[in-house]
Amino acid sequence: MELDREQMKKRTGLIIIGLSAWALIICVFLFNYTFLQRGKYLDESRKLAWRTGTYSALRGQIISDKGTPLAWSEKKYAIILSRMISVERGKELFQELNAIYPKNYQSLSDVQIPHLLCSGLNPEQVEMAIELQKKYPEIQLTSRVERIVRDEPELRKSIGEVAWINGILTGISGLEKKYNTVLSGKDGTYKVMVSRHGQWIPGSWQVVTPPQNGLNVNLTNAPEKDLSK
Amino acid sequence: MNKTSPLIQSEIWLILILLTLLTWGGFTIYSSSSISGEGEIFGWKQLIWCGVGVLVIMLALLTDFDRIYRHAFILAGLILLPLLLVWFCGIKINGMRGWYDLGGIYFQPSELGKPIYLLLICRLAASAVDTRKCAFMLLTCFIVFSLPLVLQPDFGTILVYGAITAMVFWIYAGKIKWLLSGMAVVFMPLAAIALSQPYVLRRFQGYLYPEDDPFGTGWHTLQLRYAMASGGMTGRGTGEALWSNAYLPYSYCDSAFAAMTETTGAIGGIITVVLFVMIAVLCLRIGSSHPDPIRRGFIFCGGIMICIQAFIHISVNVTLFPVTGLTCPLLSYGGSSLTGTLLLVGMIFAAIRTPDKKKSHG
Repeated sequence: MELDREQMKKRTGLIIIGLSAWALIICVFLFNYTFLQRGKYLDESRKLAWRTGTYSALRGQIISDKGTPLAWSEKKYAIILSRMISVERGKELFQELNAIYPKNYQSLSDVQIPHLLCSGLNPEQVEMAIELQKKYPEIQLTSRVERIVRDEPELRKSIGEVAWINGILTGISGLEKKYNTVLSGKDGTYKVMVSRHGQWIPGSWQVVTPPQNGLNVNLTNAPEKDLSK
Repeated sequence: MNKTSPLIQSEIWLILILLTLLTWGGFTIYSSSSISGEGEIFGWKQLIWCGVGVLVIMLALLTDFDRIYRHAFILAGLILLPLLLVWFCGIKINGMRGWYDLGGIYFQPSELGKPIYLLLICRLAASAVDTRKCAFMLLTCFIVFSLPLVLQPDFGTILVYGAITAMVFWIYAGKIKWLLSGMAVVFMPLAAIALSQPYVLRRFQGYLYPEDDPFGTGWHTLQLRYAMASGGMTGRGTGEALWSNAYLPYSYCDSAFAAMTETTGAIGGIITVVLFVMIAVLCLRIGSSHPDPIRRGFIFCGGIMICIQAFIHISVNVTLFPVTGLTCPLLSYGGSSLTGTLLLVGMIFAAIRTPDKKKSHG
């Protein structure tokens, strides 16, 4: 069929009108989701993806009269298995995990979830674990604050112990209990976007209220005396 | 002033728009996968495919369009064969057996088949003596090419093939009654086949009532809306598209437009839509000025084909249509899709540039 120029102009003109109308409908839909109903969908998406959490305030140090730290807090990193993993994939994971944190890993066939794989990672191992997490969404890098006291039995007794009470590191005996209010500080809050698998999205972490770290306690020449004061 | 200068201007505009969309697509692919650390990998791969596409364009440009046109049936046969064989030798990705695994490179014959199919139907329509024959030949051709796609199943591509067949028939025959009857004949059985597939039904449910099953059938539809809402009017900026990186399924290919909207906002999305309409308008302008009626039809239909595929993809992304796995020409990641689109671009420019022999002999 010969394509006459005039006929073609008429017919193609109609097609262009049709396409323009289609384009207009698309723009209306686009405007609807990016402007008119944006608030509704942002609220829904926030509920789905954003999580808030407590940003622990750093507990203050207990310092001797000579300026030596006797008790302090340290952040310890660990890798846990947060979801079930197939046997084959588990074997591959262990091979790669061994390169980061050499250890004799036990079989994952009967483990309970969450399962601690390794703990006490140094900063270099933490960086490698972050990369490994991208490949294995089944694992999670977690951190917790631990209270360290100098390894002297008498001193330990005077300093006392801490425990997690309602998610806050609290002094339950000794100087830790006595100066708890000063040492504790106030926890802050953060929000972070998590993926479908519950992993944090890099770059999405934001502080909502900053934490107020605990103050240091400077002791006199003998901790026992401070305790009996 | 030279008579051809407005035409050359149109050609330059067309090239600029194509390059803009291609670059824009590269940024989208990078932005939608940058946080997960795969942005650069995808970006480089797409760049390599762009290189392959440029070679394909050059090859098409160096070939005489009349020769390509004469061999339309052979080319159609050559593309139909892998389309049929993919059912036996192909691999299944996302529930669709439509790819060949060529040593780690996945090749989708239906994408490369689009420009060849267009060439074939343009040739059939041009050679038909009357409306009845034109309708019969185009319908037969559509059924022959759709059957292997139904088997895969790839309903998104069938939609593109169907839409472009209807357009070509309309341009060449211009009979609305015939067009509507033909569409009814094709639509009924296709709809019956599509709806008999459980996954198609689930997609329809998810499209109509996404909030009823937000973590199941409505997941993809809702994620597309969340990504657009996240972008707002002005977008989050390159590398900041958190939603596309974390939640949006196939953000670098099937959901490329929504991912791009998250990065560039509604303004970027509207510009993209306008650019695709301009491709069709410019192809109409260039095509209608061409003295040869065969090339006149092909140039315009080529532009329309790019625009229609883009609009189907965009309509899915703005949740105007139910979810279907269809890439956006020039914007989405994918070797076969990009090569197919750039082959079509090459053929359009070959049709524009090949000297009109009838005119030169005359």
